[in-house]
Amino acid sequence: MTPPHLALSAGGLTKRFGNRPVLQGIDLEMGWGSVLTLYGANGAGKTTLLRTIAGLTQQSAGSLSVAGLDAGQRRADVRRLVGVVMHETFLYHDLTVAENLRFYGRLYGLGAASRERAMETAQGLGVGAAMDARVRTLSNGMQKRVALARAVLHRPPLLLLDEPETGLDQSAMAALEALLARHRHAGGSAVVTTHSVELGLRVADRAAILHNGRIVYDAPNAMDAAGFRRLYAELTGAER
Amino acid sequence: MNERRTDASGQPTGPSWWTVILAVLWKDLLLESRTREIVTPIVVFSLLVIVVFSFVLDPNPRLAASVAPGALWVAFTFAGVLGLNRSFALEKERGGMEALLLTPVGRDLLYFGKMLAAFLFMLLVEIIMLPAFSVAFNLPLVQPGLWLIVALATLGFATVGTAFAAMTVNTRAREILLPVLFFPVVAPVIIAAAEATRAVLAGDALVDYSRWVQLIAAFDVIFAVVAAATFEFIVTE
Repeated sequence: MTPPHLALSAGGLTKRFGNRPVLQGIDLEMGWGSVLTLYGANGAGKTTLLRTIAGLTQQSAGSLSVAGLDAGQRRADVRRLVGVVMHETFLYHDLTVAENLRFYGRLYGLGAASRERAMETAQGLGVGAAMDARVRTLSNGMQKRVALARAVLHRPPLLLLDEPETGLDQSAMAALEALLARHRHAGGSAVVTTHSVELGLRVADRAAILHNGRIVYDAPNAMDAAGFRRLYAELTGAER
Repeated sequence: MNERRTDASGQPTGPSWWTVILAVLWKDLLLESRTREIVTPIVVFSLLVIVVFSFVLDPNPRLAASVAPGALWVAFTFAGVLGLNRSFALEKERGGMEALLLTPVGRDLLYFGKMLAAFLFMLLVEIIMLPAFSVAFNLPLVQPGLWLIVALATLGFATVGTAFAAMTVNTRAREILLPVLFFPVVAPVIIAAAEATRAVLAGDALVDYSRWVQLIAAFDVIFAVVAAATFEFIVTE
């Protein structure tokens, strides 16, 4: 069942670390069945924005809701609706892939279905054969696939992926893109931060540019990679 | 404590409280059984404390009986701090704490899972160390009354120690900060445990040292309630 209202709605979202503003009045709305790519230089606030939406850090000001639920008031419900991949894999390296996925399955309330769901999800991302391997024995790319499996295990309607392409080989990239396409086709939404314009154009229907904590561009994908790079350079002052 | 969550139609939508606590406990026990990164160092540390005390103290039995309770609880306390620090440091290094915080479960349940794991790790160390202390000090330390004191005091230690370890894990000076913050709070438990241990070694009946046992039990309950209620504020950035 697709949750009601907008997938994501942020109004005047502000985050400060001490006196340093990291997010400055972010206004963002996303419907269902949409993938938004978020571009920005290092330190622009991309990761902080994802962490704030995920509930890992609280906003200093402004409003934020996921699927119509106030992220401040309904934290547990919002966390159930969100699947997150950050730079860390969030995996226990001395547990096997199956043990990691079953552990998170239990915390997401999958109960008896957690074993079956873990296998199904792992197979979908090409790590089904590694279920009994300890995570520390896997390559970085395989660990990233398992991290993706962990994030989508509970079938969250909103995915937050922070530079998910890092460390992925071509086959894993294909698995990631297929996952995002399936997710979007099923009515889910995703916010993906990336430095890869090509990836963004392939997986997303919309692009936003974050610069110094502000969204300076937000529009449907309608230009080629070269055109977008020119626009990005103009708006952020970055070298082409 | 969180009950099983239900949606508008009354269907369960989240795990029961005991599922969450057992899942976190199972994960910590499984990890420790594979890595032995917590129990092994604190057993070695406790053994070193025994060796030092057994060399520096006069072997006179009366002196040993008066000093042993203090030595015992000094060893357990410092070893416990090492274990608590390590437990949360490992969780942080692996990004596990954030992963736990991303899940839709109550923070009080995460606290109880981590606290129970810390309690069991410390209890395991104490089960190993008590006979060793007994031999080193030539005292009858392995007796039911003492086990009761050890179990209750360790529970108090774990309840407050888990909260403080979670609080200090993100600080740069956590190895120093944890004992500095934690010892003053847990001091009543340690003092009561040492006094009750002294009474047991003196051959007193339970009724004679029950006030110390009651004091420890009361602290356990207070610490557990306060720590569980505040854990959300402790771990939220």
